Amino acid sequence: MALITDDVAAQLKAEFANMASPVRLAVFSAALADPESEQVKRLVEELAALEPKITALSYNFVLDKEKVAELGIQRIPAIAVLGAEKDYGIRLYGLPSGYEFGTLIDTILDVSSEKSGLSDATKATLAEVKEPVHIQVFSTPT
Amino acid sequence: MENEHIRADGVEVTGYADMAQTYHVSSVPQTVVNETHVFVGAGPETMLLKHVQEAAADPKPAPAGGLIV
Repeated sequence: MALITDDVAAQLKAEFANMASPVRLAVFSAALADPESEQVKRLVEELAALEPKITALSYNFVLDKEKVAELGIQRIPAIAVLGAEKDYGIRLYGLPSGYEFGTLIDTILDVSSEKSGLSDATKATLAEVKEPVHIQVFSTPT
Repeated sequence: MENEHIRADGVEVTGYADMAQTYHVSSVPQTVVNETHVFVGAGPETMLLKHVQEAAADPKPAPAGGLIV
């Protein structure tokens, strides 16, 4: 059975229809170590099936060590939301269910548009940051 | 997206009890910048910006995988 219902699939297709650039979703799972992570892999593959501009790249967290290191994946399940060529450093960890499913969709659309949606003042200030910054936002599915 | 030095993780913390403990997550959303700069709640853009600026200006290197609060 599909994780994404027909109703939701139709809504998503409409939203994805306006995507500017392609987006790659690199999903990291491990069936043996974390069966739940396979659900995320399935979800990402279902999303990719809805829209030709979305590509699912499935990696095994244990076996694909090079990719894990390249994208700096810390744990599973993980989704790296990548532009057509650029990695903006955006990673989503855990199950994208409930509100977090919306976050995943919004992130795909932001990366596709290559627009953060931040104010001009914020962008100007951020442009001055020269040191590594790692932001982690913790949430629960509500 | 606005700066290549900045990376961002969204963490659905239910499946990561160890992280919830390490970062003392009791209310969500909780934002942690460079392991040390913490705020709780969905603050305005300016609040996140302030923490990013402070973290970037902080000479202390972020401890690897750990946390000081």
